[in-house]
Amino acid sequence: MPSAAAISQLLIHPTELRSVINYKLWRDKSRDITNPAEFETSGYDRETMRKCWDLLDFSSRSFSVVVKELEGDLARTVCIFYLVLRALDTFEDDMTIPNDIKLPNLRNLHRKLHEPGWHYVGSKDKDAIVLESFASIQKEFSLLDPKYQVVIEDICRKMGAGMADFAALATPEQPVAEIKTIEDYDLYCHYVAGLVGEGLSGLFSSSGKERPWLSSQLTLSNSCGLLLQKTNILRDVKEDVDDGRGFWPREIYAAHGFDSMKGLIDPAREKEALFAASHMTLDALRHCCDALDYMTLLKCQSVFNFVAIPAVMAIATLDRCFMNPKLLKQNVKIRRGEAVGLIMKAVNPRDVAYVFQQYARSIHQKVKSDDPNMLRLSIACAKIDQWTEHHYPTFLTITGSSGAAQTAIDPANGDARAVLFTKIITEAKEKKEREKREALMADLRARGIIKDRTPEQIAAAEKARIESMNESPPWLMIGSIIVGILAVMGGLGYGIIWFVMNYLDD
Amino acid sequence: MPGEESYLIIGGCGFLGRWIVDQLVERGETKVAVFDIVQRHFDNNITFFTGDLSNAADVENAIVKSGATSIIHTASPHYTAPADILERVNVTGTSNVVDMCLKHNVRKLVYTSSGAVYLDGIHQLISADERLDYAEKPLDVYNTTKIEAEKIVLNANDRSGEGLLTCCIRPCGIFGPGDQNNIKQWHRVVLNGQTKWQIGDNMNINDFTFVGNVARAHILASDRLAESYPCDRFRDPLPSIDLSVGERRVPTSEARPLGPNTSPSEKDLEVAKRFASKEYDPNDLRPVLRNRMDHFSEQSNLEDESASVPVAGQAYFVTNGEPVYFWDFARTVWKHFGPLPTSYWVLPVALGYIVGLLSETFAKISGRQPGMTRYNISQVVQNRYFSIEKSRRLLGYEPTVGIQEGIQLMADWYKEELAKKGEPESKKSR
Repeated sequence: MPSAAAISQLLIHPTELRSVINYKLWRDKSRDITNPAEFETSGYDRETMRKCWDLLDFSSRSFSVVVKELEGDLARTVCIFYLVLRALDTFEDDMTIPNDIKLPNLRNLHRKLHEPGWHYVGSKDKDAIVLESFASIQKEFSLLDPKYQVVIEDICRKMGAGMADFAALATPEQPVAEIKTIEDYDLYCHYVAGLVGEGLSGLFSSSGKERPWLSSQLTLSNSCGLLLQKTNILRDVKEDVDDGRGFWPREIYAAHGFDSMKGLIDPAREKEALFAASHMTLDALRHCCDALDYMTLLKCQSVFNFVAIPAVMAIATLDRCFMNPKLLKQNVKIRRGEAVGLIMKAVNPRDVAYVFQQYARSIHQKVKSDDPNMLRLSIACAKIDQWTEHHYPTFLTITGSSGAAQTAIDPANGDARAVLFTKIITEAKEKKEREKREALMADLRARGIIKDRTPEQIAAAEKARIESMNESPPWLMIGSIIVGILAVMGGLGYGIIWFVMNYLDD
Repeated sequence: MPGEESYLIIGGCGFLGRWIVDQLVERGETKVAVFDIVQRHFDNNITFFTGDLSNAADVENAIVKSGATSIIHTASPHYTAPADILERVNVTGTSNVVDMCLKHNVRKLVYTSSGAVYLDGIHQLISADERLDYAEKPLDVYNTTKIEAEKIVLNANDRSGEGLLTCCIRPCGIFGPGDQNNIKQWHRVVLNGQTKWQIGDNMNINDFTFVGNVARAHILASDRLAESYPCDRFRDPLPSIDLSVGERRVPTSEARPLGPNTSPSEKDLEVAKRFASKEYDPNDLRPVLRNRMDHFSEQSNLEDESASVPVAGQAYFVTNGEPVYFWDFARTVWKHFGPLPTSYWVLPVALGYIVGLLSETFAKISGRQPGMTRYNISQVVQNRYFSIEKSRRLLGYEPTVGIQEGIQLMADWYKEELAKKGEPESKKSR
């Protein structure tokens, strides 16, 4: 049963209500790891793997859904990868573990992947159970295909070393050392998130579901990780400062007059704090086009969803936090309805680009003219806009159902390129037609029957010509069909909403 | 090699022309001459010719006496100039230049056209590239004459590569120190207290270009006019332009700084060195994916390894590669001349066009210059930004001064100009 607040939120945002209904009715899980037919790749019949799936549910929450929907043995592999990194993260986050225990554990965890039975008791972190149950993770790691083990161990070693470098800066007064420069901030995010991107690309390539060279696309892989990590660091400012931590680089908040991150949550300095947050947003936005580039390189649908869902959530979160005073007072989250709508859209690079474009525009609309980074934000948002319009011009409409989708040019769109594209297509079509005709003539000539074609041949040539001519879409008919479909859909939609609201309860 | 070419800069005393002259001299060119209608600068290492472009004899005199091998023709009246002057300078003048180039065997001609050749007031220019056709109904006389001039210049290109080589540079929204027109308009808005107005929803993206970058593009065009761009290089990625936002390399496990690492290994040091260098591992370079509608999909898919595209005979967009939402650019300029209002009055686009039309009609009746034309309105409410992949690849053009820095340079210069004349900077000091 959804809460009254959730229902009222949905009523205020009717498009999101539609999303939630669509999601419940239409989105079916692509696989069920508990199904015996899946045991071979999901490992759900083994106690240790069941433990790992449970740990994933427990420690990742929303993320576990997309992991489980990955195809074949990728789901299980990514699950183990995630848990190994979660173990590192738990060591890193736990401020009750002193550095003389923490640092060796961070630097050596990759070795523990080959030590059956190893586990760690004594963490007070919320995810301590991951360390306590490490034996199960280790066991399952050892059962993975060696090509995956190599990737996971390599990333675990690099991440552990990087985390240890940063953790070593801690002092008794400052248990989590501040990050000084933007360069250090990038490096920190590379260690904790960029490497995850590298590792995932490595796993995708190794699985054969993605192209082999994806694993060498280190810059793009890191950019995806940095976008997500920077979004979280920006969003968690209040929680982190309350816990005595902070990951915003001094270089950014000092530029807005703050000596420490504590000042950011001082209500009296809200204006400057929001400008500092806007600066953090600007820094995160610079990874967006790389992330979009990365997603256009993917070819496996479940991998695409896995990458795209967190990415659209990130840009939506950046927008939700932008110039939002609540950011400094509480944990800002995107609404459930909005999240569900995003999940539905994150299925192809074109729609994902439109999501990015929409939120980039929204961020731009909220920039204050006295923001010191006003023009830079404008450039950063416009860049996403240009990326989208360049790769997926909005005047190209995609009609028809999946499998038989047709691209058409919207003649009502004012984009000058629409005229150009129409011309190019027409010319290409005419050329093809001409070539076809000439090929046929040449063929007939070769067979020496050019002069007296049989009625059948003439008819065939004529038919081919007419067919190729008919490829040009009849706009009036398409238009009226669209209008008709829309009308029917509208009616059905309202019917479904009415039905769901009346008869279906969560 | 500096000193090889003998340059004649037509319009070399103008805003852009002067920047080109300065950059040529700065890189050590010894044979630089200027042709302009009035001489505004006096340097002893530059030969000046004064004359009228529409007078073929004047043009001939300058070309012959300067012994020019490369001509950069930047002269053009402001777009608000009367129709007959636009016609005389842009069409007759350019035609004279081309005729005299042919007559006296000048090798290279680079013409300053304009991004406006596509403006028709109806279509939005969204990541537009050079494949588009000229505007069927250009918005005003300036655009009409620029299109005509461009055709004259490009038709004169000798495709055999033996004779005259020509190309057109189409800068979009030039700004910077030395500008005698646009900055005055920007500044007047501040003096009139009109910065609280906004027409449209500020979702329209525009390109602006720092004058120094445009000047560089012209010189590059002249340098490379006889060259060709190999088609297989269309598959190489171009770096992102991040002048204003800040160029930062994303760290990877193969290229990252040392950071707080106190006991780096050999490998760590090597990786840090790679990060500091500008080098990328070839395997890390992203593939360039082009769909079949992409500007260069045909060229990049050619199997013939020796295929190439000639630099000459083409037009090139030149921008800062940092398109921005129009009113954000405006406000960044205005901010230099006093604080901005915290809220705006937003005028809907349609209303803006009505105001423009009324103003034009009134101007026609009264015979005066209109205060606001539909052209002005379309400039502030329409998308007008371009893809500069062609100039980046074929000319090797890269902007070097970002928009943010460029505006600062322009504002600093203009404030100095105002101080020299004793005029006020902002509304309050008036």
